[in-house]
Amino acid sequence: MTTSHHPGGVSIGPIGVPVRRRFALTAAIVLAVLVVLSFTALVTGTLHYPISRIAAVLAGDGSRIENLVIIDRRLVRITGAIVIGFMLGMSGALTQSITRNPIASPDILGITSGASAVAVFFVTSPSTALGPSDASAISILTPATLIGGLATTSLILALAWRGGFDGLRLVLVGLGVNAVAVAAITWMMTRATTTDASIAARWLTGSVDGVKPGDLILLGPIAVAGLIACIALGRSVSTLRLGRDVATSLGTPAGRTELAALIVAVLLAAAATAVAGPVAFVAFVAPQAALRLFRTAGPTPFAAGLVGAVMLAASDLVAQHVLFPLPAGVVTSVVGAPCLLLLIVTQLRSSSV
Amino acid sequence: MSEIITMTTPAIRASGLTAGYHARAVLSGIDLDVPAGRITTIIGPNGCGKSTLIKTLGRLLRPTAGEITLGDQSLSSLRAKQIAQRLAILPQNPMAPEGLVVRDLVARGRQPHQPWYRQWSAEDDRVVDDAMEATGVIDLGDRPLDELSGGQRQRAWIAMSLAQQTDLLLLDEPTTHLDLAHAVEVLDLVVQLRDRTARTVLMVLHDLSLAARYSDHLIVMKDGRVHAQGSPADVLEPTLLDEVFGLSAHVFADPVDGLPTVVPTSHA
Repeated sequence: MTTSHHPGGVSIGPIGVPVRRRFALTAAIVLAVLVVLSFTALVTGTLHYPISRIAAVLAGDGSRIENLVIIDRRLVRITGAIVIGFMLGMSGALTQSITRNPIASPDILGITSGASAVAVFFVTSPSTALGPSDASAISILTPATLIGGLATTSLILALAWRGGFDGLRLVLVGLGVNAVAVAAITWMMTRATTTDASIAARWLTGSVDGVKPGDLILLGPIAVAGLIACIALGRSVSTLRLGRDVATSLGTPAGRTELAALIVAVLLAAAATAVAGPVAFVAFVAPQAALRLFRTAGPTPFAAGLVGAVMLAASDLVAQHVLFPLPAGVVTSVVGAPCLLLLIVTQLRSSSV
Repeated sequence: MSEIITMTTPAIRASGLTAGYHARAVLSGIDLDVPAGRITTIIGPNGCGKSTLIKTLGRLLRPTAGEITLGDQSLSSLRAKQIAQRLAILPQNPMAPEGLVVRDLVARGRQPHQPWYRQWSAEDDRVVDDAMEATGVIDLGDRPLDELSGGQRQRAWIAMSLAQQTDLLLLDEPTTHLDLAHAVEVLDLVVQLRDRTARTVLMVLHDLSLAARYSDHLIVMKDGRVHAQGSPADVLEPTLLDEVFGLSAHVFADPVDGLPTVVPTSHA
């Protein structure tokens, strides 16, 4: 009847999805970039294979060596980078949204460091030192980082919660907790044996180098569950950006949504950290880049996940092939640290009034 | 006629309402009825509990004692989403995230009517259009809120609340930070809502003359209690202004429309 000013959305039966052209277009481009990155990861490496061979190996027609190189190494590694980047991006979007603070990502808030400190404790204490090089180490690292992540979050909340989040207080408490966790890690490293310390140091730089097929079997379900949780929580989380009172008026229970989103964010970040170590800055940069690229008001978990996947996949490719092999975490730090500085400077400038 | 009005169920009713922040009670034993289909305004000096009262009625604050009845149901027996379909409250100075455009803000108002799997429908689009039309922001749909003037922004927020399609609309100081012309623009809109959509509006206002001019019913608060309530002509008289506000003032009937007008007496 009335002509709408906007093509508002599409509906199929009872399902209705709002469509924003910019969002759909950007998502398509980012997905295409991911495909290109995956292809590049499969065809590049010290051993050269023609594309026809790679296609054959992927179709299940490879020799034992070819399977080992292309499937178990290259395919698992790039998939790991994409999945871990996606999890970190979603995690950061959730924490930045509920705190309404772009600096409040799990890596800046000390959640990742706290999780790492617990993991390093297990790696370096003599009774449990199996080392992440050991195939069974993942079975210790995963629960250790999850428990560490949740414990750190509880500590931060206990210190910062006043019947709700205050973005700035949370960040300041988080920075303090981060400093304590980093100090604890350093102290444990000085007391560890050389072997344990080097294993821990390698893990701490954050790398998808050592991702194994078993890790993907562990991460896959967590990533999918996290995505479903993000879709279910997404609308409430974005409503919270209008403030707790407006959210309540619209029927969104503020406290419950914040807590649920925080738990999902911590589990995603901790699971990703368990496998790849504390990959720096992806959870912080990806949501901020996503909201600018997708032009949304506030970071959307799905968009942030896609950008996080691109960021980590690209960083890992750069880390492997530029100059000499580096852990991907070094590349993400080089990209992320200036972004953090820029954001702090611009935020301080705009909020100093 | 007056019998019919008194017989009508109030849109919202508070009985024995006590509320506050932490252990400090700001409201004590409030009893009031907000008449349906009318504009009711809460007035009172700073710190009297106006804002606390409207927040408690709008379930942004949980009362420590007493009961709120919405139509014929207790507010505490309703689920968050059910309340959101019947009562919208716009807090003071709501903040929008940077870059949020007007149309997306207004569309948020549809949330209480949408299941999670249907976050858009043609019906939603139509309601959003109507709300933007009614508030005069239909041509601002693609503009980010942070680029608008104070008056336009406030009308966009009211449009969001209208898209909620509730019978009851609560506005906490809708005219703060607006100059007089924009304040009048917002209050004219409130009158239109009452006349065209038969909504019940309950608001908090600071300015006594604006409250007198735009309200059907006034609730005067002092020290966390209801001091008086009734029509502006009955309630606003010099003795009450002195008792409640410590203000010596004359109250005139406006020579043009007969509405009460408060003019402070100067002691200079």
